[in-house]
Amino acid sequence: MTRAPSTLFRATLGLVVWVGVLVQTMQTVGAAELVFGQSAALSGPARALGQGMRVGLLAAFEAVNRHGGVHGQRLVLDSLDDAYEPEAAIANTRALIQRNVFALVGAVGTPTSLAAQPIATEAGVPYIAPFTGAEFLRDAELRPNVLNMRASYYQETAEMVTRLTADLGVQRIGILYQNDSYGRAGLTGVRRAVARHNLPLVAEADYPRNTEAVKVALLDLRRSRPEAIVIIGAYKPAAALIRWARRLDFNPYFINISFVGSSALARELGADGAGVYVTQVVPFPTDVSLPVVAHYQHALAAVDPESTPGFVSLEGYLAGRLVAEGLRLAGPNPTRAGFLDALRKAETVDLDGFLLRYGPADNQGSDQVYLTVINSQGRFQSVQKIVPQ
Amino acid sequence: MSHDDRSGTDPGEALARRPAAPSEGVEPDKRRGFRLGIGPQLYIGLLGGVLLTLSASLVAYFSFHQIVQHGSRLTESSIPNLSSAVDAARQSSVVVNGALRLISASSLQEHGTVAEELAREQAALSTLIHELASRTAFGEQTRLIEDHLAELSVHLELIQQSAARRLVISQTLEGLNLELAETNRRIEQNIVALIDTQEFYLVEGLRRLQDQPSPVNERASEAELTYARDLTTLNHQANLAVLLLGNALALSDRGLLPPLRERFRSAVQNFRRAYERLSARTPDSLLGTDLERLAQMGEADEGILPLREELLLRLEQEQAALAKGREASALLLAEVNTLVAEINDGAVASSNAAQSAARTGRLILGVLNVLSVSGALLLGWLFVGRYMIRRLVGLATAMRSMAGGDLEVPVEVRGNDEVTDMANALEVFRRYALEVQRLNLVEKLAEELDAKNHTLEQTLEHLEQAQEQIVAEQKLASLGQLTAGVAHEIKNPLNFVSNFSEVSVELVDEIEEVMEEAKSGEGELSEEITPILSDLRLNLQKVKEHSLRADGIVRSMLEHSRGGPGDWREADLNALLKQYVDLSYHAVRAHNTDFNMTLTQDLDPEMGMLTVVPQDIGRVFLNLITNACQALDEKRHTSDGGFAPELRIASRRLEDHAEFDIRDNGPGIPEALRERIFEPFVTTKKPGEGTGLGLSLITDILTRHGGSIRLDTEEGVFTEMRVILPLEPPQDTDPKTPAVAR
Repeated sequence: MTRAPSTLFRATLGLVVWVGVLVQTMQTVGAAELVFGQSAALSGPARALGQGMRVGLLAAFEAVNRHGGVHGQRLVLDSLDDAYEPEAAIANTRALIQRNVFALVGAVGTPTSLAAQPIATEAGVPYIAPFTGAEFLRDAELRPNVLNMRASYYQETAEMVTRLTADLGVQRIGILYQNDSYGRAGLTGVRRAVARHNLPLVAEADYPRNTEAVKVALLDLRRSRPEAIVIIGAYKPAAALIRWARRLDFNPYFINISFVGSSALARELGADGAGVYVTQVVPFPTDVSLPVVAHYQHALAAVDPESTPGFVSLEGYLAGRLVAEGLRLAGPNPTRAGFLDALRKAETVDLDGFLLRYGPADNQGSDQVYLTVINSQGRFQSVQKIVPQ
Repeated sequence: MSHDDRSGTDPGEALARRPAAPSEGVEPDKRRGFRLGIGPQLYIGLLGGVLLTLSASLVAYFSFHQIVQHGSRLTESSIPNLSSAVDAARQSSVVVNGALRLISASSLQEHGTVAEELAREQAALSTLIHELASRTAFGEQTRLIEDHLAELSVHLELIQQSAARRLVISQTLEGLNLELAETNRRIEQNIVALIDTQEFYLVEGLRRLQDQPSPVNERASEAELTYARDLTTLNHQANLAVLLLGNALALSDRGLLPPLRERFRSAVQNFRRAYERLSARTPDSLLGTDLERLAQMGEADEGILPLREELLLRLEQEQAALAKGREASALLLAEVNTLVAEINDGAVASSNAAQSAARTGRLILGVLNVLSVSGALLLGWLFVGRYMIRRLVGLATAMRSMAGGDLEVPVEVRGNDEVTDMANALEVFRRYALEVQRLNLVEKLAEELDAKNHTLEQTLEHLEQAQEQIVAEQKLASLGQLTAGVAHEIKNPLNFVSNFSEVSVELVDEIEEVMEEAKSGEGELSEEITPILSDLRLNLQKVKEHSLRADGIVRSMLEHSRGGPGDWREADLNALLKQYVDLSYHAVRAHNTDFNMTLTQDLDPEMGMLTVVPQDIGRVFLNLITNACQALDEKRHTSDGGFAPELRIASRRLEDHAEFDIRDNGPGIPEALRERIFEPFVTTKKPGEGTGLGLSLITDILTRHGGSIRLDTEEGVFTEMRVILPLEPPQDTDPKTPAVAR
């Protein structure tokens, strides 16, 4: 009587182990390669962001794959275009989860993330390094599957206000924000930041998303005579605002948030771009003193020799490296939970000099905010301070 | 036994011949003409068993057949029917459910799948119901069911077609919705940009970055302001139209569509008018196209509003059809339920019939089993046990007992088979053996008989001798008893002889004296001698007389004691009686000198002579008188002095017989002894005083004489013995034959 159950137990155990291995194998998608999903704006006014993120991710994956992948697994990116529209982002996220991607990575935009992330959370699919600093994604308890890489919009806006007040002693700050969740997140951040400095927000103007209808907003802003205008928007309306302001000889300090798409903004502004500040959440893409940037440049050149290094593609590259590092830490045959846990439990994730730290209640890896400015040649340069015009 | 004729034949030879030629005498059982051998009997038994088994099998077969029939009716008809009915019921609900799914299908693809499924299910339902209809006898139900099915099908068809169309509409609407959103976004972006630009122009007089600012009167002209207003109106009305269309898309109440359409029309009218004015100034074909498209999206035949209306209408119709379909399905279900109930009744009936068949079969099989078993037992017990084995055992026992030598018990012959033959043969054998044995036995018996006869003769001889001896001894005993009396009797004559002899001697002396004197002559011789001589003669005569008397006594004594048989002669029985009274009396007195008794005699003087064996009759009298005297003496001894012993003898000669009474007034004979007194060895006397044979002998003697003896007695008063003798002796009396039984 004692032998039969043990045999049965062993058989059951064997079956369970086998099924577990099978399930894990199926989860790791073919064992030889691991697919990551991306829903981003590959078309439309924000397409530079989505394309940049995608190129960066591809560069990182290619680099990793060139070195044999992670634990023998090649990393594959499956990107879908949502044109920065939430409805499309929802459909794409569902489709990607349907295709059993290991994780979603490099989503672009706050409203799109706001729509897509709950779907990923419900499905238990990791939502890694979205290209947004929205605060709601920083709630580790409500969103256990989300791992952010970049600093938040609050941190960026706080840095802006700090720089404006500390470096220039600016008292009158206005804001142009895109009339959506992204713009409002920035607005909230700026309001909190100026409140910390006991300053009023002298002008608040908005524009409809996906339009360049900023001229009336410009008139509204000019009326309050701000010394500096924080722009929470896309590069086209931001550029329109700055150019029209310059045309009207209205020249406050313009400071943009990272999401604006720095290279596109500079390109759009041309000569009018000089002295326009942009806060960044990744290191300067041409600063090869950082090993990670050097690797990034190599990797980027490997996938697309035509492209020039940029903040967005660097962020994409870093996101790709973060994913690879998470997989490496999770060990062979990683599970989604194991992958997330590996990153959360790692003391410091060092991506060749770009340091990330996660914790049980902290799902944001980097708190770094960098300040850049467009110089008279229409090129970005890294600065520590805002200097008077 | 009738084979005396064979008694002389050799038994072995007879046995050897038996089987070949059975004689009528040794064929014990020929009465049964019908013969049934063991083989046939066994065959009959086996046939009976086989018949029972066959009938059991037949019963089992028919039971099973019945059960199988009912079962197959159940399985071929009831159960499939029931199952079909249940399937039909289920199927109808599946179909109705399918209709519901059809209505709620969200895509054409789903609709197609569901419709396909539904068609299959419907076909299956039809098949089921047609099968059911073709198989069952419940025509009414199946007809109704088919009617309901047809109705259901009509509704389903309607729903299916409508839903298909509705889904097409729905899909179109979805597309329109997306297009609406897209168009709206484009219009809005366009108009917003235009408004933004116009408002900025109104303030700054700049439309493009490179333009020079317009003068204030130009930029604030009525045309510019109207343009700005038209843009705003356009924006609002387009927004309103989009909103209304959006509302229409979400609307579920068809009744609310007409007012909505009204408002949409006015919105379209408004933004068209505004755009007409705008386009006159700055033609924007893209915006125009979008706006026109917006209007089309609302009102065209394939626009949102008509489609939505049709969709809602269809939905309503489908719901109604579904309701009707459900109703039909419910009716169908009800009919199917009725059918199920009826089929179920049939199934229950079949099942019951099968059960009852099984029960009956079981019962009959049980009975047959009991019959078979009891038949086998009976066969075994009766036929084999009782009939065969018992007979065989009987034969074996008979053989054993024959072997043991017992041939007397006849062999039991029963039945009419081989065992009977064996029994018959054995019986024949037994009879031969018995015959042989009997022959041997007869010889042996003859020998034994001879030997026994010899022994008996010897014994008889011994007995005769012994009896003679006993009689002699008896005689001697009585002689002994008489001795005193005889002595007394003899003494008297002897005294007379002696006395007369003495007197005679004296007379002789006198004669001699006379003679002497005569010689001497003295006197007269003759005169003197003659009286003396006559006296002497007288004396001598007296001597002679008494001598004779003594001689008679002695002779009679001798006769009494003589061993040989007495002679029949005539005798004076009165004298004989008297003589024995004297003898007996004196014999008693010889023992008891003080014994006295009074003798009374009443003898019939006419008695005359009777022909008897005197010595035997004398013995009778002696015995009786002696008994009387002894009884008297006994009573004298036991009673006090007042007793006067008295003996009375009497005789009478009657017409044909003579009676002699001897009566004493002694103690009498006790009642208990009276019956047995004449049996041998019964006595009232003390041991040693009597043999007990006396009265027995007397009876014998008297019987020989054709006479008898009677006893009359009263205890303590008297005993009277009456001897009765015929006047003539018995005819067959052989003078030579002894009167006394030996």
